[in-house]
Amino acid sequence: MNGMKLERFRDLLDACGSDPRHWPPAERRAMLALAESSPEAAAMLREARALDELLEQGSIAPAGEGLGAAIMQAARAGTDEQDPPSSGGRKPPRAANDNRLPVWKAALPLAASLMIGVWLGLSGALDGLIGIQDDTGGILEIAMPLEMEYGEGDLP
Amino acid sequence: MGSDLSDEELMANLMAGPRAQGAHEAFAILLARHMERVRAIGWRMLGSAEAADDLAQEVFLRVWRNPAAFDGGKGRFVHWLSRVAANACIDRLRRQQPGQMDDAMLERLGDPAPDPERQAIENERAARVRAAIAQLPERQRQAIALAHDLGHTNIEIAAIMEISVEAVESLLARGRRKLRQLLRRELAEMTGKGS
Repeated sequence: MNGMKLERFRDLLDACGSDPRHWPPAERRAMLALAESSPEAAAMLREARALDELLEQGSIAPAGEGLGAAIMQAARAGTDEQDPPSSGGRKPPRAANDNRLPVWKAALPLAASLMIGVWLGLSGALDGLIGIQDDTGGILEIAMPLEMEYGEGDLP
Repeated sequence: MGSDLSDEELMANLMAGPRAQGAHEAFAILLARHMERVRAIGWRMLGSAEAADDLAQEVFLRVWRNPAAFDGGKGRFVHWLSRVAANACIDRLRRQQPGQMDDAMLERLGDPAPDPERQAIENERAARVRAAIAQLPERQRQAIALAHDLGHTNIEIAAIMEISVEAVESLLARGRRKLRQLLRRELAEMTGKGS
């Protein structure tokens, strides 16, 4: 006769799922026997199967074709950015958590600000627009040091 | 290069350097074999297809940039990759603001389904399952993903998570108990106990 208790049966279903192939070999026979002889155990097994089924239904759909290609592209781009390997062997790999932007991307906003500043300064556009150049120093502060623009006595 | 090479042989190819002959091909084969595995882990742990895709990109670029992080003497590539993916998920979850994922899930639950009625019901049910899984603690969620989405045995999960088989069983048991509780309405419908 089956010595397995319902509580143990439930614990094993929770720990191993409803697929008998994943049950502990030493207890598989007793579990199957209990599921056949006990309506309560059979109900527990049905519920465990339903849970497995629910979890499978929620699986992710396969990726679009573009993802793999994008990853390959990113890997290739990374290789192209690297210097040729030294004669001593591999270049030290980038740290796994190094997700910094490439230097040129990080510098782009600063370069753009400087260009705009220089253009505004050269064209005199700032004078025309706000007319307070002498009070603030305005955009020119970005392009050159203060002492170049003002005399010493003018500084606040 | 033949795609019949083992993952470990392909990784040895990558370790010769990104410019070595066959490195890109080896990487492409690994990507084709295992991208869905990484996405599945991301899906379960992060809760959205977009996050799963981001995770796949992050993990595979790590593999590409630093293949030497894999030590073939310590186990199979596939187990190591799953561990890298799961740890990356945990890092992401810890960076998220509290409640951020739950809000995203609620938003998706409210999305109108573009397909016929049956598809809508299935989508809604799948969304409820995802929302329930999102309520599990990280490690339980990871164990559930490895068991259900990737079909790993408890022994394999123990190797991937670097814990004992008993600890895996405990994580899965607590996770499934909680899911049974959270999804009792769906389970009752499926087992004929519902009204």
